[in-house]
Amino acid sequence: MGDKNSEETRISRRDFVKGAIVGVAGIASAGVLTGCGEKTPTSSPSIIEETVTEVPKPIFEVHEADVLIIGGGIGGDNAALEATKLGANVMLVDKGPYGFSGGASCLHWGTIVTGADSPDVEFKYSVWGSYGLINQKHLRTAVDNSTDILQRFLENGTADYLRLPDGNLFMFPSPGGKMAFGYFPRYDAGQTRWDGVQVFEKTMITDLLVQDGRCIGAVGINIPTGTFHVFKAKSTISATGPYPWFWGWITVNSYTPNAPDNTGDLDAIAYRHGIELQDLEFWDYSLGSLKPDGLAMSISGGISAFSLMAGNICDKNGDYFMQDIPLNEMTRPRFSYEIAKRIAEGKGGPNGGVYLDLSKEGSVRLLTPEIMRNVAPLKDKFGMDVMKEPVEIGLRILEMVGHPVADENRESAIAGLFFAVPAGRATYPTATSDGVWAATGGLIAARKAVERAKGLADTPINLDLVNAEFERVHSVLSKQVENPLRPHVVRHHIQEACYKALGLYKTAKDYEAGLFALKKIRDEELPRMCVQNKTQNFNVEWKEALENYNILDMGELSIRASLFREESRGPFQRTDFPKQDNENWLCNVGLKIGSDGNPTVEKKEIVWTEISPDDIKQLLTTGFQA
Amino acid sequence: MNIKLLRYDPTIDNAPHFETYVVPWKENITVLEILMYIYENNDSLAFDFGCRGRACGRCSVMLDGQPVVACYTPIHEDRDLTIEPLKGFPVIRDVIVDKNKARDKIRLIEVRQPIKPIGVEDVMAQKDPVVSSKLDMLKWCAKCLCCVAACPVVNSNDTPSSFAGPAAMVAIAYRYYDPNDYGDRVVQAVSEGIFDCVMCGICTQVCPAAIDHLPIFEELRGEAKKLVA
Repeated sequence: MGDKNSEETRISRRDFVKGAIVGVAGIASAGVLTGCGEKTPTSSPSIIEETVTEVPKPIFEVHEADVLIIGGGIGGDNAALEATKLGANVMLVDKGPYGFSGGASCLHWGTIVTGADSPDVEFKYSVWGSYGLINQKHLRTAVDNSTDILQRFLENGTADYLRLPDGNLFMFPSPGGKMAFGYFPRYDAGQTRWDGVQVFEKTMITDLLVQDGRCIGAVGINIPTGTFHVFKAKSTISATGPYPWFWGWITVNSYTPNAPDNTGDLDAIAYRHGIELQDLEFWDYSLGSLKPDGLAMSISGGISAFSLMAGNICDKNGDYFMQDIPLNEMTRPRFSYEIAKRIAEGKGGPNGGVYLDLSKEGSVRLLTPEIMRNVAPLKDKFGMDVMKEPVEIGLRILEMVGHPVADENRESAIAGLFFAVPAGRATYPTATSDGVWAATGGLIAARKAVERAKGLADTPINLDLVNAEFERVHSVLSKQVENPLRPHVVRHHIQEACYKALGLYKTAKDYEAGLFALKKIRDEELPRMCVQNKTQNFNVEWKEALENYNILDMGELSIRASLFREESRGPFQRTDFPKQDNENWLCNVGLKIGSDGNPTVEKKEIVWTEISPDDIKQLLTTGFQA
Repeated sequence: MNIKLLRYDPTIDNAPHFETYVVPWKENITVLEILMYIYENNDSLAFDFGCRGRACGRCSVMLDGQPVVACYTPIHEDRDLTIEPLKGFPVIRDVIVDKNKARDKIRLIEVRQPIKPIGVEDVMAQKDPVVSSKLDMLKWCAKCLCCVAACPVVNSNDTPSSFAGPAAMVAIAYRYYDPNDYGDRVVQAVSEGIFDCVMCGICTQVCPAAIDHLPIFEELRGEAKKLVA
């Protein structure tokens, strides 16, 4: 007995397997995987013959707790610690090895910690730094909950922050805040387990369970064993980080320092369940060394460049093109787009980057410890003397702003479903920087999640939903086609298309070409995607195939958001609309799945509470003063 | 390059077996790039990685009999090599091993034993720079477990050892120097076998994070001897 409501709010599983989630026209697949061998006729000119292999009978483990947390990084850990402190039973699921996955946990580069000590100054700085688009309700909660963050992060488990040679804390001035370095979230991981959080690692969530408009948990597979799991909870918090893995491919990674885990699974799943995504056109870029290929874009392994190094960066002609820009104007977005502009003018190096010159006197002082530790190994192991020879550096996605929409309690439009980092962070430099935003968001989400869970009546699981998802996940594994494409092949085509379409200084033509290419992949390649090895035992390919649906959706939605915003603002720069247009575009852009499966895009009013749009326009004109 | 790779899927294969793959060499090709090449061009093998910078420890393997992190290990010439799963751990599939025995122990060791909440004055207070520099080194332990794979005491067939291995000792040391930890980490070092360590320094030789183990182990032993005396 199916649940009609949940079927209405999401595209049916048949369409999903065929890859017709976004963009329904042109379905090429001829098969329907129900295990019965039925075939539906198709009117498409290219018919793909599909052999139906029987999917096993659904069998799964069920786990239950008050609060389910998806993602075990800074956001998830802080949510878990808070929820247990408030007396809830907590399950935490992570796709990778817990403590060693995703962004900060994986990078282990020592997260920057900014605590607000003048909350109102922090607030204003963040509104300015976000080019006016930040959700001020979220911002107030983040700022107010970060005043004690310096102590709180250490209390989680990191032994100490970075200190000066005399033993005093190394602090960086930040308007309205204190900035310290060296929070290593992996040292929280023992504490969560000790506090009784049930951790399920190396487990990929493939769908949420939504019944009668309420999220009652999630389902997914354990990657080492292939076992299907049902996680039943009264409240679910998603904290899965950014999703840059659609942006190009070098040899072992996309143009990002982030981890292969960061494929946007929960953002795409949320979208398919009807939740609005917002701000997908905004990214935070940073710069990383391009060579050798195997270390390209890596923060922990390569050389990174930050805005303080602007005076050490030259183009292919040896022109130090940023040295006259005053440091207080050198924000992270400005640093990125000045470099992108230079490259777009044809003054970049052979690998598409500019050059970091550390041979100047005193350059070594610019190197933070996580970069400094790479100088000797890069020379000894890889033959690169970065203190003498210019290092070619290119743009990479550091963080992403776009996420599902949620209120200031981090609760989404689906009851019981929370996002530690919803849309509304807007771009850096918000004073409450990346990791702090995730941590405070996790905290706030946990408080509401626990409150919601208390006294909530039990909702029995609709097993039809579980069985249907089991079948979908297993059909991805067992599917055979005559002319198969392995998942990485499809993935690299998606990545190539997104790399051409997205980034700084693109135009409508680039976006439209990207949408065209992705549609072709969706219609012609996704139905041919097959896993070569059918083992259920740590099947990386199976995981990649499942992730590909999410990568494709997030790439396409990012392009649609970019196409829609007809202006340039901060790190979003397009050459066909080069000016910032506060009259028409001081707004957010939202995407929602339509009843036909295609996304609808719309302008959304910014959420402001303390600084009005008129005051924002003034602030953006005059600049920030503390 | 001819790459001999030990393949094994316990759910399908009766025993591990070597397969050979031909991979084109290029300057500074990493072992991770080699695995990726085989995965993409030859055979759907099981391997894992994360940071591409010896910080997450996910990609550790045996290269020609030595434990390395695949991502940060370049091959400097067009030659043949052998890749196997990290020694001393149960193999899940191909080069994926189960690190839980070691990592679970480390995780429990890493739980801080505080006596009071940390206040902002604790954060701002000046600390001993010697201690800070030790923490700055120890914190980079990636839990790759190359040290455990290389340790002759852990891998000894002769007598069962109570030595938990170098990575566990690094975790104990991290909390020993942690200004907010009040647990008796010297006692913990003894119970986890610091005196079973033969102080050979092989752990330091293979450590991708350049941790200098022996002075730390000496210090813990020194403190332990004072306790017993």
